[in-house]
Amino acid sequence: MSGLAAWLIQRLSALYLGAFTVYALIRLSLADSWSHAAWSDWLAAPWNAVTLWLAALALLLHAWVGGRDVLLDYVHPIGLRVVMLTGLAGWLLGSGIWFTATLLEVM
Amino acid sequence: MSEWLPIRFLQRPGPRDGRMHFSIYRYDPESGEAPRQQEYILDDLSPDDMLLDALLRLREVDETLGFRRSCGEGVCGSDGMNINGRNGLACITRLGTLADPVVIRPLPGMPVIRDLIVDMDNFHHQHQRVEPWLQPDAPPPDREQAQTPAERERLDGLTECILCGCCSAACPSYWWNPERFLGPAALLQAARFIEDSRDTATEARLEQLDDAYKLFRCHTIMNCSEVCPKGLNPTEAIGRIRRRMLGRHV
Repeated sequence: MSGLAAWLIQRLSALYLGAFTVYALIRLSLADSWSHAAWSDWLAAPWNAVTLWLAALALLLHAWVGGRDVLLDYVHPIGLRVVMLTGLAGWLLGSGIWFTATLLEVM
Repeated sequence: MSEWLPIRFLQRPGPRDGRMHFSIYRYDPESGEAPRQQEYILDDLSPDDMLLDALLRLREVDETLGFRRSCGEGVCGSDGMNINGRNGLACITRLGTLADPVVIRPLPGMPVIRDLIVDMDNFHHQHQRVEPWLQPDAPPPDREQAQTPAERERLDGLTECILCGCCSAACPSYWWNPERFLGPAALLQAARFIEDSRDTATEARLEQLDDAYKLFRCHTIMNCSEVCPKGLNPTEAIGRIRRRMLGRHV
């Protein structure tokens, strides 16, 4: 993923995250209860769970392109760059797996 | 002295009673000495004088002062330099627009050959990499190859570049990756040939630019458009290339 593809993913994920943030803020401000049970109920609806999961995916992709951009710009020694890119990818991937597992547990 | 005042930007710019102070970057790599700012004072200046006029007068006093100049009309692009923190052409910069003292440095991010003269080899190499010439697949016609007014209009704002380097030398992305990121000047030229109705290598040109570095190190910082002495907009040109790339896939 480089060039136009990365650029496009960054824009599309930003659009989704922007829309989701507005939706989430409205949903939170209208919520009757912020209890764990209320959230579990909310996530029990597949549509809600998928929306949230997509937001997490968009966030991870957005963070990958952004983080990768920073490393390409500023980290020039190739060995250090590979280590940092691998670290970033691993961390984001781990976060994605952790989030998915948590979401499945709550649902 | 005015340089001690923190409110420098509030002062009336230009010479006061005909006098202006100049602080000019001096460096001769062969001397082994560290770079320094040298102070000069000039009298009998008018706000309508160009900075180049002042530099030429300074060189009469100090012939070791190195800078490039040629046409003196803002056409050749030789005298690009950093003037009070902003890249521009000395020959079309009026003293009346400059805060006193005028701090002059070489174009940032380019190796200094001497004083205000920078090595622009990498800049020109990046220009070459976009193959800045028409590539038609048919042999050239006997007569001139006509364009419609609309086709010609697409090149407005792209053909006027004089390759002075002010934009690329103001671009942080070019500072960090000068060998791999083409820089705004070269990308403006790329757009110029991508948009040309007579050029048939558009696909190959777009393909060539689609990697992580050549174009996509641009983060739309817009310093290039901010400083271009010809009032061109490389950021917009880069945006046009991106849209053309997108158009190939959609």
